[in-house]
Amino acid sequence: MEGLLYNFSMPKITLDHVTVAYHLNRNEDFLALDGASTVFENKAFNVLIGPSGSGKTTLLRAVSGLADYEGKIYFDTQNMADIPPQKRELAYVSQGIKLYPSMTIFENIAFPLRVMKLPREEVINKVYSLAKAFDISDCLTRKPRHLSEGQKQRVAMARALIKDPKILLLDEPFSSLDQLHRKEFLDMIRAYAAKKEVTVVYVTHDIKEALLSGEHIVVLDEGKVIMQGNADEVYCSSHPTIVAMRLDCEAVVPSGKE
Amino acid sequence: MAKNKAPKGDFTRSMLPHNRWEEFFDIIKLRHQYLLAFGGLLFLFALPMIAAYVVRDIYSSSVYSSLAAQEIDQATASDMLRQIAFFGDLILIPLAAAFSIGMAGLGRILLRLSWEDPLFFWQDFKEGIQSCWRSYLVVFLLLSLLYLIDDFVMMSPLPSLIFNALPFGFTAFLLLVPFCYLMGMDQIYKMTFREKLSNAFTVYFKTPSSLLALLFLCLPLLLTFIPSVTWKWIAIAITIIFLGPLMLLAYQLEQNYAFDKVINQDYYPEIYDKGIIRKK
Repeated sequence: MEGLLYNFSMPKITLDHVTVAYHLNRNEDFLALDGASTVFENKAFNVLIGPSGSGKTTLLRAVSGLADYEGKIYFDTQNMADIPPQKRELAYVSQGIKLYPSMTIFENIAFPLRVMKLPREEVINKVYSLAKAFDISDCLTRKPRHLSEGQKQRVAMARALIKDPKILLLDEPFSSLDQLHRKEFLDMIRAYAAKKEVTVVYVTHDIKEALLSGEHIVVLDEGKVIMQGNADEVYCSSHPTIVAMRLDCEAVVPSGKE
Repeated sequence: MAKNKAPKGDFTRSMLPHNRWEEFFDIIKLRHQYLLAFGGLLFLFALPMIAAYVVRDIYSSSVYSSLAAQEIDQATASDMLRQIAFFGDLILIPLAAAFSIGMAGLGRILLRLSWEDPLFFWQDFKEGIQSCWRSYLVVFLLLSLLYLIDDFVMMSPLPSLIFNALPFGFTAFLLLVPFCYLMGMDQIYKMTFREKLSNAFTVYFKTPSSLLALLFLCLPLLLTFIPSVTWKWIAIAITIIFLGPLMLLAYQLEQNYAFDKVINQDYYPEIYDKGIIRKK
């Protein structure tokens, strides 16, 4: 039915042999995803990790419907092949913060709802409640140029969540922030996602961050899923890519380990 | 050596406007596009009145030309000018009624801006008209009727100019400010018309500065003394579009101050000092 949003009560995301190819020239294609199969658990904080160029962003683009793919992607049991991005009930936050510079912060966050022509009171209540959750209530009358990078990132996050998505795809959104702020943000998102029962897929190339924050970790390399499991399983893995990533950072302690 | 730009720190509550002056400039800086749209709408609703005044001016200047060319005598000219003024003022009554409808919507936009509230421009404009058009209509009809009487008396041959100016002074100094307060109150409070009227007079008498504020708002009337009809109305149009929103915003902030002082502090603390963060 035209205009109907597909309602996924508990969105588990399943990728079944998903391949995404980029056309380089007449005779050559580059496989950004090469038959990737994995499951992102419902209502969990899933972390997608892998070295640069391993296909993390491409995977998110395929899940969100922004990239053409072969294979199958399911939300619960629903095959997403014919469902356009705007009807997938998901939000995607990428690295670069793209706020409308001429709009106030309130207008930036409210924009998706204003497009839907929702009643004034409903829009205001939703924006105020998200602004409170992300600690940006005092900035609502300002413009993006008045805010720090961290605050802009919170605004982008609030805007992504304004339509109450069931799935939140985060493509290294905090890469420009220092570690302390990143942790603060991750805690904020985790709390919000747990409260609203949102399935989160968080992309990072920092294994330490992945081990500390992920309930379910998927490791990607050269377009293939090389491992998936909880922090302990990933930490103990002897796969060369994971070992190499682990050696890159010092004193990695997986969640729950002394 | 090239200097690097320091990274921007967090925006904090203490950086918000601390008083109404700061708020005034803050609104101009951040919401100038709304103020411009406001000016455009103000001009649109004022256009019929402006047109009526232009026609009146053209007729009056033709009388002065005839007088200068000695085609008519002084008494005839005065009589003709009185008639033009009377009919001009009479036509103004329905036009002011139309203007009042637009002002009811614009009043809501001004209130939202002055409270630094989220603004849904057209929705707020429509809501302002829907909820306040009656009081605005009554006030504008009364004012245009009083203007007709004042103008008529002003141009009547009386023994002293003081007598001519009396009704005008009565309107300007006793009624104009409370009438403006009444319209402002209608945007905020849910009261009966009589309660609003009585409160409007109370606020007026307890805030003497409000008369000065209104006189400031009337400053553009000085433009009517520009001798050339064309330049006069070009100047007035530009003033309405660009200066009008700023002057009305300043007046709205003054109204907010008066309402805060006399009403909100005791009876509506939730809207007291709305839009500003006082320094502790």
